[in-house]
Amino acid sequence: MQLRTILVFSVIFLSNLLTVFAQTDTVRITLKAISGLQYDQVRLSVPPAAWVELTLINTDEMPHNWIMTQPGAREDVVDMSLELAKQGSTDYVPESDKVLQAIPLILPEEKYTISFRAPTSEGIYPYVCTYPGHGAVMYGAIYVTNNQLPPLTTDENVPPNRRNDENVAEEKPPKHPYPDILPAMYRTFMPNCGPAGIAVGLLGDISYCWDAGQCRLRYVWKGGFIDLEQHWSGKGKELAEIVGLVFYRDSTEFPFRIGEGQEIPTVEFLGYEMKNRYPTFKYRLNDVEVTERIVPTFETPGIKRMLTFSGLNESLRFVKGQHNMLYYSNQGEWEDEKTLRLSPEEAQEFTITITENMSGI
Amino acid sequence: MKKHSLVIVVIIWIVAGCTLQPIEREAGMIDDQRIDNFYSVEDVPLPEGLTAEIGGMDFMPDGRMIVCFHRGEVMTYDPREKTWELFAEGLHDPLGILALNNWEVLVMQRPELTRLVDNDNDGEAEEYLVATDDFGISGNYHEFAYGPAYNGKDLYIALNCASKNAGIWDEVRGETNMLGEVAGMYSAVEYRGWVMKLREDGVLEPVASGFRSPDGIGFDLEGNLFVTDNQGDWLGTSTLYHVEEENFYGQISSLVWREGWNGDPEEMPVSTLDSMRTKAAVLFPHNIMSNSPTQPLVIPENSDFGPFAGQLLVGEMDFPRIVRVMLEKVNGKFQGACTSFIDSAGLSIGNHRMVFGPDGSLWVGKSAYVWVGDRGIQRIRYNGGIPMDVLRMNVIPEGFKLTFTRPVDRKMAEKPDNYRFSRYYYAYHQKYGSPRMDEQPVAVKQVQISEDGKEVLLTLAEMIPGYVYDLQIGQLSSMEGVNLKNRRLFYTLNELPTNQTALSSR
Repeated sequence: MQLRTILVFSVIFLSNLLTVFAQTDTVRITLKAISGLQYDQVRLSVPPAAWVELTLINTDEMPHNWIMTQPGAREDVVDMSLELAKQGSTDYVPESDKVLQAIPLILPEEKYTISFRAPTSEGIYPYVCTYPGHGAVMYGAIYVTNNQLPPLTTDENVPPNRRNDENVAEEKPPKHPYPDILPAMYRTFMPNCGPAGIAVGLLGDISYCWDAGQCRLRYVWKGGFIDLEQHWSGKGKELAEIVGLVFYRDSTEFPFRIGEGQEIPTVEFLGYEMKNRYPTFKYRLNDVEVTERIVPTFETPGIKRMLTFSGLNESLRFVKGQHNMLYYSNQGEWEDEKTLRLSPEEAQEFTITITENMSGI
Repeated sequence: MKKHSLVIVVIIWIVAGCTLQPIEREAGMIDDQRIDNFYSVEDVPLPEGLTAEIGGMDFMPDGRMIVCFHRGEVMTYDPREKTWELFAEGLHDPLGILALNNWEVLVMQRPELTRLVDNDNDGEAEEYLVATDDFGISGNYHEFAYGPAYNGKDLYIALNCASKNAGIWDEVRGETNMLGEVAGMYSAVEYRGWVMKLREDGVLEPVASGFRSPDGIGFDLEGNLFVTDNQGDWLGTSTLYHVEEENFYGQISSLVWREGWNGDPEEMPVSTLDSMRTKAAVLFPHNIMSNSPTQPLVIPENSDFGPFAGQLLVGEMDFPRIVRVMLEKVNGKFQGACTSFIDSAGLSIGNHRMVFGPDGSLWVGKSAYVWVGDRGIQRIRYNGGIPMDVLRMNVIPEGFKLTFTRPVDRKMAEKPDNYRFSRYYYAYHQKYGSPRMDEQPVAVKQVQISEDGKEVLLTLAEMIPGYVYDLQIGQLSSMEGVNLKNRRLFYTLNELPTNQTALSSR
C-alpha cells in the first residue's frame, strides 16, 4: 500500500516533468465504451510519432478495457487474453510484444487516461476490448497516418455492423437538460442582424429575429426555429442557422419616428421580461419607454406586435417594413400607404399585426 | 522506504523518459489515486442533457451554487440535496456570474452584463435586465466578455480582443476604429482589450488597456485587482497582471481607445511600447507551468483549506492543474512566484472557473470550446494536515528566501545542488509567443537554514531583473519525512529589493 502511494506520487511527479516535453501538439482522444459491445468510434487517426492522450470512458453497464496491438495482431491478442482468463486471471492484458498500449479493465462510469507516443511507422494498429467474449466484436483501429482514411464501407478493420454507419456517436444528443420546447429564446449571433441578436421561436413554427443593439424587429420566418449546433460546437464563429423561410424583413432605416421629423430616435435596450416563455422587450426611444411583446398569428403566417409607449408627448409614426404584407393596427390612422400615425394616447397600448398576403402581391 | 522510492523514481524516469512508455496521468474514479492525502477531488453529479462547459460559478447566500453554461443555461445546485434547477436560459456564451443575493445574479454574456431577477422566488428568473452594454461588439467570434469581479463597490469586466481568423461584421455595435486592426488579435470596436469598471451610478468607464484574451479577473483580500492573459502576440508567455487605472499591459491594439490617442500603434517602435507597458506580476512559463491560465481566485482568510490562505489560485486549461501564486510587493510593485497547487490526483484539464463553497471546499468548473479542455464540475476538499510545500518565495538582494510549511530535513535542505536554478526571459514582440530567451543555469552559492527549519535562504551567483527564475528542487522532505509536494517554482524577477533581508529569528 505504502509502496503504491509512493509509486503514484512518483508518477504524478514525473508526469509533471514530462509535460514539459510532451505537451506540444498532443492529440487528445476521448473514446467511449458504449452499450452493445462497441466503442463509440471505430476508427481513430493520428499522425506518426504524435503524442496521444487517450481517455477511455466506460458508459456501458459492463467492464471494458482497451488494448492497442501490432498491425494484424488483434485476433492473436484476443486469443492470448482468453488463455489468461482460462488460467483464472482477471487481468486480460497479455504480456506480449504484440500489445503496444493498454488501458486496464475499467468499471461502468469509470474513465482512464493514458499518454503515449504513436508508432513512428505508418500503419493500421487495431484496438480491442479483451474482456472475455468482447474481443470478437468490440474493436476498431488507429490509423497512424497523415493521409485520409479509406472508405468506411469496405474497411475490414472495423466490425461489419459499423461499416455503414458513422451514426452511433452522432445520435442527436439533447440540447439542454430540459425539454426542447417552444416558445424559446436565445441571445445569439443571427444572420442579417447586428451582433447583439435575439432569436425567438413561437408556437406555430413562426420565429423572429430581434436586434438588441438597434432595438427593433429584423425579420420573421416560418417553418421552424434555429439550429445552433454549429455555433455551439465551435468557438462561436458560425452563426445560428435559420430553419425555415424568411417571409418578412423590416427594410426601413428604423420603423418608428417620434414627432414630425425624420430623425431616427436614439435607442437604449433595457432588457426583457419572460412570461410563459414569451419575452417582453423593454427599450427606450429617445426618452420614451417602450415595451414590445410578439405573439404569432395562427390563421395565416404572421405576428402580432403588442406595443406600449409611455411618456410620449408627440405623435408616433410607424413605417411599414415590407410592402407585400398585410398590416393591421387596432389604433391610429394610416396616413398614407406605408405610415401609421398614433396620438400619444393611442400609442400607450396598441397592436400591429403583420401577416403574409396569401392572395399574392 | 526512502531508498525504495528513489529507486522507483529512477526506474520510472528511465522507462518513461527513454522508451516513452505510457504515463498514467489520470485514473478516473479509482479512489485511492484521486487523493493526494491533503486534498481529494471528486466529480459533481450533473443533470442529463447538460453540456457542462462552465462559464461562471458562484454561491448564493442560501448555499445554492449558481452556474452558467456555454449554451446559455443558468442553473442552481443545492449541494445538500444534490439537485439542479434551471434559473435562466437563452444567454449568449455567458463567461462570468456573480450572485447578488438569493434572487438576483449578474451574468456576463457576449453582448452585455445582465441582471437576472427572480421576483417571485420560484427559483427561476423572470427579468433579464441590462446592467451595461456600453461596449462594442463587432460580431468577431473571439470578442468574449469576462467578469464581473466585485470589490464591494464597483464591478470590473474584461473584454477580449477580436481574432485575426475572422473579420468584423458589416453591422457592429459601438464605435469602430480600424487603426485597432493590428496584426494578431485586434481591437476594432471600442474598448476591446480593456478592463472596464461599472460604477455604482451605472456608468461604464475604461480602466486599463493592453489585454489580449483576459479570461480571468478577480481581487485579492486587500482589494487589488488581478487579471490573467494568454500567451500570444505581444505575450511571450501567459501572465498575471496587477491591474491599476490607466496602465497599459502590452497588447497594442487597444491603445487606439485611449483618450486623446491618435496614430497607429503598429508604427510605434517596440522599445517605446515596451517602456509604456506595465509588466506582468507573474509570468507562467509556457509548456511548463501553464498554457492557458483562467480565473484568479483568492483563498479566503480563515478558510479551512490548508496553509495557503490569502494566496491566489489560478485555473489552467491544458494541464490537470491548478496553479498557486505567491505575491509580494518589491519597490512598491507586485511580483512573485507560481507553482502547482494541485496536479492530476483526479483533477482533469479544462479548469476554467472556481469558487469556494460555504463549507470551504473548492468547486472547479471545466470548459473546452474547441480548444484543449474538459467538461463537468469537480470539487476539491481539504482533508486536513499540512502538506510539505513552499509557502512563500521571497526575493532578497542576493537570492531568494523559501519559507516552507513544515521544518525541512536539514540534511537534504542544506545541499546547494539540491536547488537547481535557471533563468530566462520572454521576448516582448508581435510574434505569437516567445521561446525562453538567454536561458542559463544559475549556481546556488550558499544555503542557510533558519533555526526553526522553515526558512531556507538561497544565495545565487547572479540576480538579474527582467528574468524568470526557474527553480527545481530535488529530493526534499520535512523533518518528519513528509515529501515536498511541488518542486518546481518560477519567480518573476521584475524588481530587486534594495534593503537587506535576513532570516527571521523565529
